[in-house]
Amino acid sequence: MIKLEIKPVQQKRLDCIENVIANAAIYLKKEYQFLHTESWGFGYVNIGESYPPKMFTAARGYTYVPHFIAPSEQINPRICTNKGKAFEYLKKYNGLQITEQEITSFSQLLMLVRQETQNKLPVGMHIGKFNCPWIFEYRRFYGIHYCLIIGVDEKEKIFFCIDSFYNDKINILPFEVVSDYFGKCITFRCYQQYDQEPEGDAIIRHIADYARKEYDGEDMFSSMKKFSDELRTLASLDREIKDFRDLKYVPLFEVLSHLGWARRNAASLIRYLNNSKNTKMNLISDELEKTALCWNIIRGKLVKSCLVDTKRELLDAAADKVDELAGNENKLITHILETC
Amino acid sequence: MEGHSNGNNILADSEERKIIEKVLRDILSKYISLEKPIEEVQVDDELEKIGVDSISFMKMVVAIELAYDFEFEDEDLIVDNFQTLDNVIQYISKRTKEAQGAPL
Repeated sequence: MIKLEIKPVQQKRLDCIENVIANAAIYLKKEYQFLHTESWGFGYVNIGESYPPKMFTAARGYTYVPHFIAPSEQINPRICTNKGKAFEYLKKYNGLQITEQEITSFSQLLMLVRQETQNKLPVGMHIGKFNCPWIFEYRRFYGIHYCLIIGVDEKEKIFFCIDSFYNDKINILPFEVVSDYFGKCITFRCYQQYDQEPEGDAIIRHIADYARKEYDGEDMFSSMKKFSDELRTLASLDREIKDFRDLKYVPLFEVLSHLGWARRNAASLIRYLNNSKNTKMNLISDELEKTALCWNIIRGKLVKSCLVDTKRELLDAAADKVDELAGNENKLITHILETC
Repeated sequence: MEGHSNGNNILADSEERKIIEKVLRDILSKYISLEKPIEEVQVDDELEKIGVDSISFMKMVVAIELAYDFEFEDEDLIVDNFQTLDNVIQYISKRTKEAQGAPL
């Protein structure tokens, strides 16, 4: 049996793969702020538009289309943060090299885990939420998820996993649950950090450029318009919440929360880069914080719409806020690209 | 006379605070699954530490709006704006005074 001494560190500002990377980085005594170079984004597709294949392909570049998924009328699987991987930046400026590997069989997965953990290195694993026995609330539907394998007991036929996105425990993943595994795993290596100071303006340009990246053929602002248009057609969010006992597990609210956090994380990276306390960069990070706040307000309105009778008014108000935000994010990106 | 009037205001404010705190404790115990019994919750406890997350905060907002007949402003729909129960009490007090047109 091998079990690495990695203590789960939960950070609500990070999504599941970011939590996996952060936990590995902390264990390897590396920083990971450049993880947020490709955080600012938004993706949305209309009902029946390219869903499901592109949706799953686009999620951080991973291709996994579960056969049992039907095109959804729910907003949740059609909305995403559209974050990038930023692995190149992590390697260059944080000295943390992340390598993806396509795994096509359980034996390959086991061999990789065995090899890495023997070298005292964890393995990040792409897994369906449905397959994680420790996430009771998600066992009724499919969702992409990541956890960090920190050990294996071949006699007991179990992996030891950290899933700090959900809990601060060492979770047990029986072999049988992933016996037909196919997906991507990520491995970690400490790498010689680039010895030059990161060039602030160039990285901020990249952050803004990435935000303009198209999702399913649409830019972020057109996608936001599609989202607001759909909110205006809904009578309620009943379809989103019907399967959940507690609103905190509703995936739409989770995505909206991470849209806010993604912007706050990008803002904190800009502040970190701003060694010279340059006013221009301070203003940009402040403006980005405001967009984060706006996403939180949108989420607040949508959550509230599930708790009151005036659902329609709140959905309209949230849609108006999304439109206002799209305008503000567009202006901010233009400003960054003109001035940096 | 002025001092006397100020004294009355202070008394009225403290009385009002107590009433708001009682209403708020009722709301918390009714709608939110707290980390500890409501009797043990202190007004300066951090909301997050007593079990108020962004979703349960919204349940609290809706119950407060119903109880006090005002609507939270957009920017106040965020739990991070309220660190403690005391912050919420102050907010309710401010908003109810605004609604009554009283000087703040």
